[in-house]
Amino acid sequence: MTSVKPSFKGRQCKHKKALFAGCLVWYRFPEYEVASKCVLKKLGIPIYPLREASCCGSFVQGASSNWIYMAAYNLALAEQNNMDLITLCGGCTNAFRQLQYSCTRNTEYVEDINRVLKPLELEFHNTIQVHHILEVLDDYKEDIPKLLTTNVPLQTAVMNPCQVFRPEEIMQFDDADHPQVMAQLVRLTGAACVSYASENQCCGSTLTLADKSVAYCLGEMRLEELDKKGVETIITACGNCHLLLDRMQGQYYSGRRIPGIFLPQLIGIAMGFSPQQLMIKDPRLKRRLQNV
Amino acid sequence: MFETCIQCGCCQESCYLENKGIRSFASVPLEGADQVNIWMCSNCWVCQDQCPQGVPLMEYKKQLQRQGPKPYGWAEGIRLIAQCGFCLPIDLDSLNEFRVEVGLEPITGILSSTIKHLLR
Ligand code: SF4
Ligand code: SF4
Repeated sequence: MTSVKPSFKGRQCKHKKALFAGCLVWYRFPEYEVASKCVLKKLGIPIYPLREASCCGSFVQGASSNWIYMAAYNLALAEQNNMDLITLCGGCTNAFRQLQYSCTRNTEYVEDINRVLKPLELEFHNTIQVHHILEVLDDYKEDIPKLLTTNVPLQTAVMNPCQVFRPEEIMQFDDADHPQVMAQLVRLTGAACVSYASENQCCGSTLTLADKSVAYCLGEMRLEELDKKGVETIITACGNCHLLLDRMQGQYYSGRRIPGIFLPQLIGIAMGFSPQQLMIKDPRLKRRLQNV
Repeated sequence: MFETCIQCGCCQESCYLENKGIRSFASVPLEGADQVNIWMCSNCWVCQDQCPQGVPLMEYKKQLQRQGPKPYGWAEGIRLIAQCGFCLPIDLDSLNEFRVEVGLEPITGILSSTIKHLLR
């Protein structure tokens, strides 16, 4: 399925852009935010800060129906500042887009939200766009090659962030059964991107909250598969997928270490940014990418 | 709930956890809900996308999860949100010090009165 959404291209849309990194990236993966900013800037998309943002609300979904007010609060803040949001995790993207979708179908929903937002002097009209960085980069895939200065000599594999593709009716991006965009973007950098059996399977990271051993077991199966394929680094585009790789390779997995890097870090290297500028942490990978 | 479900089992068959022998949320339509299977789900939405009846499985999951106790990790995240507006223990002072060092702008957090109002 191809995208039917209006184009996100900065030059065609009057809104400013803010990065909505989300709790996990703010807390644990500043490198994802730093690298995204480097790449977006190079693409000519200036990024403005969204002040007073909170958790997107996705975490509250299983506790209270009030999660929609939390999501709407962030969207209303962006609206007030004439901003579209670029998200970095699947969960935030999915929560915001679920809410926007419900609101386009049910105006009472919007009225209810505005009753809650009114004392905060905020209004929600559902007028901004929310897109995951993968969608933005996909929109720019003709521009990216013109900005690349080097080929990245790495054997990689991707971890597709499920919630950016599903539910299909809401997300309308790529082919949810066989996502291609992320691998295509990786290949633009000159890196090899191998296919593997569990490529389109959820990372299972969220399961650490319910049963760690299940999540780690899923991670282990993936790593064993990638080890056999000679993969040197795993390309991620979601804090949650990345967290699973990081955590289990730190504490649990005893096989060959296969570090994860975020897609904007990879593209950033190909654009000529240094591993330091992109905050690449893994020492071996950092050395490897120093002089490409 | 599940009024339109025809018990076809497509959801269960499509779930990657079920396919590995792990009883997941996708077992609920056929086997019923309990405190274990309603939390065994990583939100990939595959089961809902495969359902021929358009059953809103993820919405039902949320509703079922809201009725009972939360596993520790979930309860902790929810407690933190009520406290600081983030689902992780973000201490803005030390985080912002680090952010400035790496060239990121400091984060201006949400007011605690605003969190209370939104989650009341
Ligand atoms: S959303 Fe949950 S229950 Fe459904 S297929 Fe994915 S992991 Fe399984
Ligand atoms: S796929 Fe839909 S109709 Fe079939 S058992 Fe699951 S919920 Fe019921």
